[in-house]
Amino acid sequence: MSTLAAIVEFLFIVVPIPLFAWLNDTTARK
Amino acid sequence: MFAPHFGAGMAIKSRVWAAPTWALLVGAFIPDFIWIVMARLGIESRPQAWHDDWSHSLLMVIVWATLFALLFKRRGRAVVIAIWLAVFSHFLLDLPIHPRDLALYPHSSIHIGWGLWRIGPVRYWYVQLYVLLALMVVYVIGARKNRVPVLKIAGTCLLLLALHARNLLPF
Repeated sequence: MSTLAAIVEFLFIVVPIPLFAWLNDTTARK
Repeated sequence: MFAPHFGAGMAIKSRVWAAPTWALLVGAFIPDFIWIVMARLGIESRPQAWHDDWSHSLLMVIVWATLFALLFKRRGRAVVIAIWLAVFSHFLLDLPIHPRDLALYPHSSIHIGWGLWRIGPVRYWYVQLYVLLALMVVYVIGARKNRVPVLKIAGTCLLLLALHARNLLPF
């Protein structure tokens, strides 16, 4: 695996995580 | 699998709302993170000399799940179990369709798996889609019970589908 491929793979996993957290953790259970 | 790992994390999140989303999702990808590091170090590699026993074998996934989940023991038993399951779900989801069968433990001669990757990339993509959809149903039901706004549930589902569509890209 090239360094670029490793970085792309890593980013595809890491970047969406804050979006999922924003969509769900900011919602308080009523 | 790729997007179904996110789906598993979100499905677990919908059942144990106290578990932090980031921890569930990072946990769901821990074997891949470890593989990326080990591949860069030359310990694990593919596709020429396939070896992912240290990151993806049954025993090691249990070890990674336990070590990672214990970091959250102050948050309570339910959160620890949820995070453990998120990490272990990686093994369960890879079992049917990982490009090579998964080792029982590092350097084990015993490998387990369904070998569904042999069905070809298009069917492989659809199998992953069906798994993702099943996990999304679990997430939506749980999120509705937790009174998450419909728009946020829809946003989460769209993001999951977009991540699955990423597999159509040539990189």
